[in-house]
Amino acid sequence: MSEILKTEDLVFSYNNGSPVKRAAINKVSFTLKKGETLGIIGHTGSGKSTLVQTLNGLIKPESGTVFLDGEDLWKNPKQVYQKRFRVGLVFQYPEYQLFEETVYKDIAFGPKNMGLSEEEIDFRIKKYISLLGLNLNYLEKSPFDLSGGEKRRVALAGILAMEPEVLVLDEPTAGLDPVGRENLFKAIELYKKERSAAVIIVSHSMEDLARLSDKLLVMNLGEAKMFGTVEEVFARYEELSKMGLDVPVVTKILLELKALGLNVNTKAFTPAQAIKNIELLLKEGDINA
Amino acid sequence: MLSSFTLGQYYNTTSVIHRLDPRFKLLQLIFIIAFIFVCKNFFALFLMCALVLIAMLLSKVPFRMYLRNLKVILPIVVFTAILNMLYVNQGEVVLFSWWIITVTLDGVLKAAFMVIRILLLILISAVLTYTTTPTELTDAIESLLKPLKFLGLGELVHTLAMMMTISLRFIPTLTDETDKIISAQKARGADLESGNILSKIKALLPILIPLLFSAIRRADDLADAMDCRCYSGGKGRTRMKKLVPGAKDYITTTILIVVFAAVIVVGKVF
Amino acid sequence: MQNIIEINNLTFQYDGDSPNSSAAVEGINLQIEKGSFTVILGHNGSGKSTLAKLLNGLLLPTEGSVSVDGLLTTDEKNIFEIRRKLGMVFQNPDNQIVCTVVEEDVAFGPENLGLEPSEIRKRVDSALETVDMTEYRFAAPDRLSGGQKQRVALAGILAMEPECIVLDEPTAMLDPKGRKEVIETITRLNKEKGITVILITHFMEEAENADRVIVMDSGKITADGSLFDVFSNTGLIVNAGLALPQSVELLSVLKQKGFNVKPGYISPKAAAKEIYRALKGGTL
Repeated sequence: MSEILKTEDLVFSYNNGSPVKRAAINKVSFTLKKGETLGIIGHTGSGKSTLVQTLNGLIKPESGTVFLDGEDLWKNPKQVYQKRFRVGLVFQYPEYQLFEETVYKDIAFGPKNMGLSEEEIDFRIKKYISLLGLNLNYLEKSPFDLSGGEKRRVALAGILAMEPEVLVLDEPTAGLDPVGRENLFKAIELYKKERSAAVIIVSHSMEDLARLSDKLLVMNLGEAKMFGTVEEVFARYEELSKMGLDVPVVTKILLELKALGLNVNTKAFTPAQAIKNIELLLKEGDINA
Repeated sequence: MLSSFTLGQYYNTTSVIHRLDPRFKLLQLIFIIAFIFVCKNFFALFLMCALVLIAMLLSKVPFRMYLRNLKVILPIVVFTAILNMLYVNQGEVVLFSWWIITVTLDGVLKAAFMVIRILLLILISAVLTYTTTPTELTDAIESLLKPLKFLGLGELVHTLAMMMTISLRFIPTLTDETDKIISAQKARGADLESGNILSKIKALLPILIPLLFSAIRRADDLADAMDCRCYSGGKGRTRMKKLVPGAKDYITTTILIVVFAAVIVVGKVF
Repeated sequence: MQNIIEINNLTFQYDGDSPNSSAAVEGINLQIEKGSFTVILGHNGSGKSTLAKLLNGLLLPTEGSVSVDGLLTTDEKNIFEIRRKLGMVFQNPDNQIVCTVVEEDVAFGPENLGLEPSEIRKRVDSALETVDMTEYRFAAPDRLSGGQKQRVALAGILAMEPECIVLDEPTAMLDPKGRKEVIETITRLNKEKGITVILITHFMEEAENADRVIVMDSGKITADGSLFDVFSNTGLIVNAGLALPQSVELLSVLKQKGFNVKPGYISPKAAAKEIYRALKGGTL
C-alpha cells in the first residue's frame, strides 16, 4: 500500500536563537503506510512529543519535511490548518480538553471546524460514540459527569469524528486501568480497519507496542536511533538497554533462559509467541544450548 | 509560548544581597524607589545610579540578566522619551524643528532624566526579584504585616500569605497546562487567530473552560493533601526558617540612610 | 504483631445525587499489621481510593469504624494525631506540593505540627536524604520530573515521622523511570525504616515486594493473601478487571499446559528460573 506519511530529516529546537538552544528533535526520518501501526518508544524528554506535534503542523520544523500523502505539509502555510483534520492528534490525558455542555456538542467541535454539514456531523457523532462502546444516551450527558475512562473515550471520539487518515496517539492509555486500556485499543483497531488509517502510538509499554505495532521508531535524545519492524528493533535489545529502554517482559524471560544455558529462540514478543518457543524447545529434545 | 514566561525570576547564587533579611530588602527597596522620585537634579540622580549599580554588582547576577529585563520594557522607555521630548517645548536651544514638532535641549534633558529614573526603577526591582525567592518575599510580607495581629487580623494575614504562596506555586503549572490545552484544541481545528472580537472571545471558551475545571480539580486535590499534612490555618503553626536580621542588614540600612541624606543635600545645594 | 489499622464492618456511601450512589465501600473488615507492606489492587472505581480516604478521616464511615493505632477516625480530637501517624501520597504529583521551594514544602507538615525550627530543619534534611533528593532541596517543584515530585511528596510525609504511609496510585501518572524510583523508595522505607506501607495501585507488577496482596472489586475485598495465593487464582484477577503481569500470564499458561510451575513470579529473572527449574526437573 502507498505511503501516507513520511518525514525527512526533521529538526526542531527549543529556545532557538538563545544560548540555551536545545535540539528537541534532530534529523528524524520515517515512513508510514496506510493501514500500518507505528509505535514510538523513548524516555520522557527524548523528543517524542515534539515529533508528534510536527506531524499535524502544530510545530513547524526548522528544517526537514513532513510529507502527507506525498505532499509537503508546509507547501502552503495558510492551509496547514486543514491538515490537522487529516492527521488527528490525540494528546496525553485528552479528557482534560473536554469543554462543552454535552458529549454530543463536544464530539461535534472538530467536525464543525471542518465545515461539515449538520447531517454529516450527526451521523459521525453517533457512529463514533458507538465505535467507542458507549451507547447513544451518553450523547446528552455532560462530559464532566462521566468516569475517567468514559471521558477519555469521548475525547477520542472527538478526534475520530474528523476521520483522520493518520491517527496519532500520545500515551493514550496513561492512567487507565487494564479494562479501560483494552477498550481503548479495541476502538483504535476497529477504526484503523474500517478507514484503513495509519496509526502512530507513543507508549512506554513495550508489551502493548509489541502486540499492536507493525513498526517501531526508537527515539533517544532527540534522534531516531532505530526504525524497523518490531522484530528488528527488539532484536537489538542490548542497544536498547544501553539507552535505558526495555524489551517486552516475555522477551526478557527468554533471554534469561538463554543465559541460563537453554537453547531457546528468543525472538518472541508476546506471551503466545514465547510459549510456542518454549514448547518447541521440548520437542527438539535437546534443551541445552 | 506561554511557558517561557517565568514569574519570580530568582537567580540562584550566593551574594551579600541574597543573604539579606527579605524584610529589610523589601523596605529598603521601597525607600530606594521613593528616593529615585525625590531626586531633583542630575547630581542626585547620579548618586542613585551609583547606588543601584553597586547593588547590581554585589548581587552577583550577570548583567545580561538585567539587560533582559530592560529589553522587555524598552517600548515603554522609548515611548516616555519621545513623549517628554515633544511635550517640553520651553528652552532657547532648539535642536530640531519640523512642521509642528520642536525638540529643545531642555526636552532632551527632561527625557533623559525620566528614562534614567525608569531604568533605575526596573533595575533595583530586578535586584530584589533576582536575589529573593517568591517564598521569602511572601514570608517578609507576612512578617511585616504581623502587627495587624493586634487588630485581630492575624489569621487574615496568614491566609493572604498562604494564598500568595499557592498562587506562586501553581502559576507555572497552569501556564503549562494552558499551552497544552491550546495545542489540543488547535489539533481539533480550533481557530484562535481570525475573526472579530466577539468570535475571538467565543473561540477562547474551549480553552478557558477546561482550564477552569482543571484548576478546580487541582484545588480539590491540594486541599486533601494539605489536610493530610495537618494544616489548620496559621494558629499553632511554626516556621522552619525564622527571619533574624543580622549585621549585614543594619549596615546596609545605615549606608542607605547616608546616601538618602546625600541625595537630599545635593538636591538642595545644586 | 500489633495492628496499626483496624477496620470493622466499614461501609461508605457517597451522597445520593452523585453518579456513584451505590456504596463505594461495603462491609469491609481488615487489619493491617505494623511494619507490613500491603498492596491493594483494584480497577478504577473498585472503591480502593475511597478506602484510602477513609483511613485518615478525609472521609468518615457511613457505617462501621476505622481506627489507626487505636484512635477512631470519627472522634474529631483524634484527627491530627491520626494524620500525623498515617501519611498519604496521592496520584497527581503536581497537586500535592504546596510551596515554591522543595525544602520548604517538606517543612510544611512539621510546621503545621508546631515543632521547633531546629527540629523541623533536622527532619527536613533527613527526609530529603532518605528519598535521595538533597541535591534538589532549593529547586522549584515545577522543574522536577514526575518521579522526583512524588519523592518530594514522600519526604513531606516522612518529615512528620509517620508510622504508616498510604500511597494512592502514586505511579499512575509516571513514566517507567519515575515509577521505578518511587517503588524503590517506598520499598526501602518499609524494609529499612520499618514504616508500614499500604500501596494502592492497578499495576500488578508493583506487588512484587508486598507481604500481602488484597484485591478489591465493587467496594468489597475479593482476595486477601500472599502474592502466590492471589496470583495463582487467575480467574479472580481477570474478574476483578485487572491484568496479570506478562511474566505471570506466561507462567499460568505453561501451568495449564502441564508444566510444573508456580505462577507467582513477577520479575523476568525469577520467572525464567522457575521455568528453567520445571524444564530441568523433567516433570512433564
